[in-house]
Amino acid sequence: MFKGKQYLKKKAMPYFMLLPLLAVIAVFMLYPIFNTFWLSMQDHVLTNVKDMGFNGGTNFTRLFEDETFWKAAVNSVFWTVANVVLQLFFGLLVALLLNQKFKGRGVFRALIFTPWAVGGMLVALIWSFMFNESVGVIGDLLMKLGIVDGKISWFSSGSSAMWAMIIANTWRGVPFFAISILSALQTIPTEVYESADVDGASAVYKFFKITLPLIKDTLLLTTLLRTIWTLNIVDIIYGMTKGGPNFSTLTIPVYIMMTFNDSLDAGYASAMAVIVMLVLVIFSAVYLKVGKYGEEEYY
Amino acid sequence: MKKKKVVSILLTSIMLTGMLAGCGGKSEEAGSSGDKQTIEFWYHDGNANSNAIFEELIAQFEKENPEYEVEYVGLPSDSYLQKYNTAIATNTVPDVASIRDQDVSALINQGALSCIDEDFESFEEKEHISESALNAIRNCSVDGKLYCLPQYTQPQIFWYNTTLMEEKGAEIPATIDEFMEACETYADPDNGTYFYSLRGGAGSLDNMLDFIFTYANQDSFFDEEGNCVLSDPIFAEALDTYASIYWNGWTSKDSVSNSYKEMVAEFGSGTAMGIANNSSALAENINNLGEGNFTNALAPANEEGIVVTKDVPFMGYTVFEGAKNREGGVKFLEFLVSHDAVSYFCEKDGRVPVNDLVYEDEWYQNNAYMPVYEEMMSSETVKFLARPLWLPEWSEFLSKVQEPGLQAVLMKEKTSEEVLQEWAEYLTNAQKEYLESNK
Amino acid sequence: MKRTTKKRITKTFTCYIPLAIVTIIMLFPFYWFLNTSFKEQSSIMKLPIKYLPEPFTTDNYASMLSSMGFDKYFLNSLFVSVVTTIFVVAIAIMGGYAISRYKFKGKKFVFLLLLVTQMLPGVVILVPLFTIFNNMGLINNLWSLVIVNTTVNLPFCTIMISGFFSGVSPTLEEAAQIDGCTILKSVFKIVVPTILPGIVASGAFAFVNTWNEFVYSLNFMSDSDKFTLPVGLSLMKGEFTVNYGGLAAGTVVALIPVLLIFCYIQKYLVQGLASGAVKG
Repeated sequence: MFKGKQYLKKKAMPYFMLLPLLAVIAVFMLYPIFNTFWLSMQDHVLTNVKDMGFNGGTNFTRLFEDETFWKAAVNSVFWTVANVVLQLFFGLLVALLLNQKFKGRGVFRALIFTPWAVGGMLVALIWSFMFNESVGVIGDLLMKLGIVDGKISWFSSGSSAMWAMIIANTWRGVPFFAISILSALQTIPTEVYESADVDGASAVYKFFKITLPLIKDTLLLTTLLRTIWTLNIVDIIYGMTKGGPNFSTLTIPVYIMMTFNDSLDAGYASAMAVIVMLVLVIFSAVYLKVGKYGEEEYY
Repeated sequence: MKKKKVVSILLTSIMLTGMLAGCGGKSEEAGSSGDKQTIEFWYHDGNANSNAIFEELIAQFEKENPEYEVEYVGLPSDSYLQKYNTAIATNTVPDVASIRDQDVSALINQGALSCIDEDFESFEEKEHISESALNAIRNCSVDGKLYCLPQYTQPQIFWYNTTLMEEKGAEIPATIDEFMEACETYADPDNGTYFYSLRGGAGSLDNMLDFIFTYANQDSFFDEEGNCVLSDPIFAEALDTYASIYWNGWTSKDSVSNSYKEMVAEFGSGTAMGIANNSSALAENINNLGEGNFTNALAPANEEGIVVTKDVPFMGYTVFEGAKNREGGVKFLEFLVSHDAVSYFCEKDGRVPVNDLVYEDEWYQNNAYMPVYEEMMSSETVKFLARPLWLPEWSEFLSKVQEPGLQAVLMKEKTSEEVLQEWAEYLTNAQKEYLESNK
Repeated sequence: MKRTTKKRITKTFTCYIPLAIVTIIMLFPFYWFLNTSFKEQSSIMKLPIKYLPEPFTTDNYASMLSSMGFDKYFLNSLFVSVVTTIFVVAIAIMGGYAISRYKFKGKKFVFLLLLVTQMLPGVVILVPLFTIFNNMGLINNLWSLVIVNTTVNLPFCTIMISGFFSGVSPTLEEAAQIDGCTILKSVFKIVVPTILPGIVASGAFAFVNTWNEFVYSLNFMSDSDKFTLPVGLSLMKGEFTVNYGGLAAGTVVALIPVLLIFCYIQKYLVQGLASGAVKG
């Protein structure tokens, strides 16, 4: 009898605890995911009702011949890597800074976190206003500081437009990493550092040998999720360049959005979404494996 | 003891999921409240100004028709079409909604719009609604029927900063040659000021189209066999001329990416003395420059003295096929295109009316900007170019083919010939498919 | 004496100077919002650029508060965000605990499933989600936004919180359970307080994401009274008018509750809370 209950506890408990979570996902997420897979194998152009129906892998073969898609794929990788690396680096820096004790720390923390609370559409509008060649404050400021001689045309070439957007998005994304890392830093007990201090360890040594290993799992996860989210950002790019000039800042999700909203081609858009998803699944699996995520877990 | 644990966890989970799934069951059904019938109405550009206008107009309508109650929803102009498409896909459309000319074909092809020819026959003011606008609407559908009715038009026009031009001694160019000369003379890249602000980003088609068709002195996209004329060498010359404004540095470097908001910012800040845009930029120009500091004028003409401009773009209202209250919707539609509503709307929002009863109104006759549009509509030297709005691929053409193509030319990644060839091929295919399917 | 001066100098270079630089960069755009929000419409585009709002005006705030129904949007957003955050945190604590503490079949699958939900672009899943809520009769009801935001934010928060649970040694709650505590009680009374910083951070994420969510809010609500703040703010950019002053004013006001929340929660991001309970 007792054994049975023990068994129930050991085996069934996790499922009970996961029930609400899985129920929410099953009810609200499975159908959209399934629907995307289904649509990816359909001719489904909203303006062409009579030709709708199963088309096998046509959407996928079309994708391999679509130069714009591959251009967007390259841009997506650049956009994502640049954003995540910059945000991680500065996020870590800010977190370490704000983890020190100083006067007015609370206010500084709250203030530095606020960029993250600005919505994507507003980030796009306000930063493109600030970056504007003629009326933008950034160019004006850099000129006043003597850093540049003339007006800066951020949006006159693909690479500078891309960097303008990366700067805007990094500004917004740094606090995300900073908060995550800061909260992870709090779970490191002070005693660990104290004993290192007794041994006369340097700050650099403490960081790499104590801090980093202890927050590794948090870093791995936030970086992974941020990678997925950053790739999927549409509002900032759509609002600032709409993928231009000449598709040089087009990423796949923006292309999906164009295909969905302008071509009204739900089938092809879904096929692209499916490919992105499969790539991300593989990437996540490899990433977690290589990063040895959660290897020292307790069970 | 152990059982208790399991039970408590089970209960918590059930409670939570129950709360999630079962909450808020009392969703308000749209429909009749009391003995009044509801009309659901969406406007695609719900900014502070238009919201206030509709508050007034709806109050007037409800006073005249006490049996109806209008539920107004003003939508963000950047995303309204997504909301329309979602509503169509899920069968949750409103009764009446505003649409722009370039949306009509896509919505008709989704089977979303209700044909209103018959209803229109019984409209009191049907004689007074501009025939050219009605034709433009008929042009958008295969069957040539009316799927929406126009309230105002947005003619393509040039805006000039007169104060600044006076200061610099510049004059409004009457011909393309004069225009190009002015672009060169008043370009001052060192100080970041220019004569013209070119639009290369989202929505770049209209300005470019007017320029190259005027230059080429042609007024049709297709020849008699349905082949797109853009591959004609004269258009390559025209596009080269247009692009040379950018190549020569006669407009800001950023203008390759400039969409509406950047272009009006350049105009509003005095960076550029002139822009090409439609009549609806008026409110923004007044905000930025102040009344009296700017004016509108016809676009520069070609060597023959002809100006070619896109067929008058209209903004209209439609009744959805899936409307819950079609009768009320039609009634409200009649009101929206009536003299009272058109007049009030156009006066308050600076738009060009299509109901000719408005021409008698005092505000209209005293308005400084309307004479240019009247001249445009009646002039012998202005020709209208019908955009192939009937093609369901039109919005795809704009966002995936034309906009990047023009940017490629401006950045010299492709030549004008290459790009025009691509456009011509795309449009010819689409047109042939269209003709084929509608035989 | 000398030691303290040296310490102070090091502190200046490792703390105050970088802090000042970071703060200036991060806050500059806010300064620009504020500056723009107090400018008159006609002076926003004027060159040369003015770094102080002259002439000074509060018109943008007044018109935003009076004409745009801003108060309604604000309350709607607050309701949706607060309720979502509560749901997300409650469900994520349980799920996170299960993932971190138990070995069970399908664990990898659950983890992957959580990640997969984050991978599809919103535009693709919009119509199917709309269909679900429409069938439930929840369209035009703020609860649909609560649910959809809960669904969207749960995976991340669960994964985060499970990570924090894994960072804490299970000995404490095991001891409590031996003493006769129920599992739930031991989790909420003993483990949760030790990982409070992590939970607070996850909750803040859910709150802010919900506060900024635009696409579902626009598409699920067809009644101006039920719009949320991001939708309300997007109305400031019309088809032919961009009300930068109003946008800036709206952004500033929309940031106030978030700023307050950050001020409050940062207290929980303090070293030492978890002291002694962490795996070595």
